[in-house]
Amino acid sequence: MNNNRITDVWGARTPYAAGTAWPVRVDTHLAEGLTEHDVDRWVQSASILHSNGDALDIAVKDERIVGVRGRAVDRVNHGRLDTKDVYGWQANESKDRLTTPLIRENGTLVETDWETAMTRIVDTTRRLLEEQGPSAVGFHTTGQLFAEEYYTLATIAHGGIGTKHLDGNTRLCTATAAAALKESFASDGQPGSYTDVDHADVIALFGHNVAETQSVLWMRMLDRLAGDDPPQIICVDPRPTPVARHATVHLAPRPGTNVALMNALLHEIITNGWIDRDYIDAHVIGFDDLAKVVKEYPPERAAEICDVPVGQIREAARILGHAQRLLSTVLQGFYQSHQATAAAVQVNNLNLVRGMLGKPGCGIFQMNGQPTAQNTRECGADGDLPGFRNWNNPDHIADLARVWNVNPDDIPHYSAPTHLMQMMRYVEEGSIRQLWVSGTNPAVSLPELARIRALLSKDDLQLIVQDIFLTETAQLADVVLPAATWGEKTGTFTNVDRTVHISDKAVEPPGEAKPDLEIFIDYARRLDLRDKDGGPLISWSDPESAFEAWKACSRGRPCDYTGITYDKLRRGSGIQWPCTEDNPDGTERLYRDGAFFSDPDYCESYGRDLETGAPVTATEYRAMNPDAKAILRAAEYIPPHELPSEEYPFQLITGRTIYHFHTRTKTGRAPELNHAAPEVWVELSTADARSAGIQDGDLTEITTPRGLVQAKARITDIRSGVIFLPFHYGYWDTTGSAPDGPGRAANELTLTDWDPASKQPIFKTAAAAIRRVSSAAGTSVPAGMKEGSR
Amino acid sequence: MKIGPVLVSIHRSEMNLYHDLLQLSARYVTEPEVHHVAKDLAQWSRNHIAKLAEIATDYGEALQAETSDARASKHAEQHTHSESLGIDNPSGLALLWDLRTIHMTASGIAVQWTMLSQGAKALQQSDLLSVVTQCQPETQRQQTWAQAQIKQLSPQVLSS
Repeated sequence: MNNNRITDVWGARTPYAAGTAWPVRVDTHLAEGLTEHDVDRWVQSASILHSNGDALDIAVKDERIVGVRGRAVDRVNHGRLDTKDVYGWQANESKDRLTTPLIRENGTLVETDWETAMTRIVDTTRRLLEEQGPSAVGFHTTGQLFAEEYYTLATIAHGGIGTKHLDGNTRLCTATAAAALKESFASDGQPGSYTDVDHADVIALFGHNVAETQSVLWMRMLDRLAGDDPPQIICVDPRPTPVARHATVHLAPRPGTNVALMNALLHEIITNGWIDRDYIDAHVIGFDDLAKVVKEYPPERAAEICDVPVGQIREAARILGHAQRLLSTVLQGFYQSHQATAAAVQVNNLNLVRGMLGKPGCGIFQMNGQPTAQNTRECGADGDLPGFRNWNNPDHIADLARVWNVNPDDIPHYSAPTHLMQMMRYVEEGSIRQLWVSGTNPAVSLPELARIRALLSKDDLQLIVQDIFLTETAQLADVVLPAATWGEKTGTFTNVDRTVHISDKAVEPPGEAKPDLEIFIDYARRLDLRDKDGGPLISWSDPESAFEAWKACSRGRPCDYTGITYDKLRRGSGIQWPCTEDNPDGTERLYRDGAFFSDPDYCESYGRDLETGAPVTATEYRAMNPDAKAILRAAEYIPPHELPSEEYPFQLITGRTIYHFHTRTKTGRAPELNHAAPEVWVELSTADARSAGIQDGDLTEITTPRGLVQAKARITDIRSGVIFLPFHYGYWDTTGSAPDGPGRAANELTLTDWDPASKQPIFKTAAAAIRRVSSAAGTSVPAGMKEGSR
Repeated sequence: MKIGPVLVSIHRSEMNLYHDLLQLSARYVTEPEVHHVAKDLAQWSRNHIAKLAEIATDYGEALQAETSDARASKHAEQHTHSESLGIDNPSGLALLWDLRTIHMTASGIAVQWTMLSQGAKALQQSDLLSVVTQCQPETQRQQTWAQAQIKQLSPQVLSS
């Protein structure tokens, strides 16, 4: 095993100065014994194991994937690879791959053929539509399929069956990013560009452990830090992450207090006049309301709520307030926490009041958590409508109906599409009786797993799971469909800075596994879904024709793909949308000179009340923002819903390690990655460990009102009062779909609660207790794991 | 001047709304968004009650400044999975009716704030007007929330 990128996760430095080009560094990794000369062909693709969008070529030899090489020419990574990509491709060939459809007979899953499996699904859909209607059928997809697949599924669900029940697991990671952008800009669409790292003099990371979640982006930041004129780093994170170690100021607030902290930073910036008054007057509404709210949050107040030193808050504000080119990024530390949208919106407010948007170095990344999460939002597979259309605007519905050639009333728009946790509630109380899960593993990734396992196992539910391995969720299914994965099918996908990449098919899928696109198209054909003229609703039959259909749908909308073709994507680098006749090479930044997508007739969303989640009406929005400006929205701090108590004195947060992606279905099957982080662990502070009599390596038991997990202790500089569990460790490689005895999946412990505005579940503020179970007796934690957070 | 009686009336209505919201939260543990947000919104009413009590002394009324939590039902926070799975399930239409009640109570309070606002302007009572300006928007947001929940939940309830 070549372990270079396990012990040296970010690889060699290539320092560069502000305003210069980031150097190229091509990372290559091939199977043991092979060199580049042995490779038959290189097939163009990008990463599927994180959200950064790192372009790479897949090495093929003897019709097998034998390695990967970063694409030097690509604007996102300049040749670099994340450690998961270096090794993760090996999982494609795992013997565990699903190769035939399965159906449940007499309680057991048995092999069958596609005809039988699809007939069983379609018969159920037909029966439910007749008995109850579209409200009985739901689709739960992922953030790891291609744009073509999402667009097909969205058309089937919203345009064909007419159900509102379609959402992705992106609800768990990226929903708040989209919601925050809609609050501030009335439309989704990341304003910044990765090239902003090249120019920024201050980079502020809010709840974003970029070093482990988008490691190539971190490499870009590290290279700036090693060069002339390094940026200052502001880091907000309760853990001592690699980002925190490089930070000029590291704020470690109590989980759930982000709004208070942000309000204090804004308080300082506004009070000291570190604002761009001209920009605010010309391009922004809501300043007076924001100023009024944050006036009540002097640093002293936030210091008390957040348990962060007043001096640190002032220092961070001073640095943010004096930045010439400020790049702000946000991820799960904000998105999966209490008051998620409200907190993420304050980051938008920060850049807006400073006028730091739409020019080099001045950007906001409301980050994504999955490789194709962006596409679920654009194509309408995650609770939005395709093309960033506004479900609350009848003209947009009419327009979408024109694209699909259906009647406007066929597209349900009497309220927002159903979000995932509400869909689960409907499954639980029995009004959804067919749930089709594609490419995701809710039995490990949703909160409160005991509840999820119970509802997915209900007798009155037909659970369909379309996946590449027999995951914990698939083990509970009534029908299992074997799918092709990355490298085995062609499609396009998009990262957080709007860069679109193509992923070409390199090898055949195993056995009878099929591309997700083919499975969805087959379903539509069997259901005989038609448009209003009697033609097939799904008029495309392969990836390229699906892409062309998606392009047509995107025409004129903010995420305009009309200037992109497969041919263009294959010529070199990924291309950023909007890419149109006027911008044939794509668009580096949005909102240059304050040109927003927020006109009432054009915008995607009128926004929601940050505290109640109630949608803003068209009338209210029109009155509020007739001139298409950006919107500053203020929020008061509300304490978290589950606070520590005497019985549960800690705050539990969950998160990631660089070595694994999600529920480890792939990374757990790549030997180097699995070996680097084979087992769950729990992080706690030195002081808390001492009080609890816990030593490094001891087996501990963590409990919340929901359940119990056992994990070995790692003592770190995490802030006291907080314990951390990685969420990757389910049971597919141990007991099957559920624990037998003490659990190890972090979500045994998390609570069922979500942000009212974004509907994103809260994984980062459960009240927990920890106690020692047994001593380590000399067993130490594997060295590989210590590369990450200490 | 007849400000006093209006203050008394709003105060009583806010007490009702406070308890109604807490009861809604306790009754619908298995509808997490209702359960959690109703509790947050109850705190707004609690704050209004304190403000009303404070200003009421200027108009010759003695109003209770604190809410009494004894009245709120103390249903257990924990729920069994059988409850969640539809047995003893209090959701569906019952939830829609209860949300309607919240909406009606909140809209009744909102219109009383309007009365108070008009009276305060006519009598040039700026402190009183300030209380209305702080409280009325929150009452309207409570009302909007109840309606938004009804809009979101009723399609599924009514079609299944």
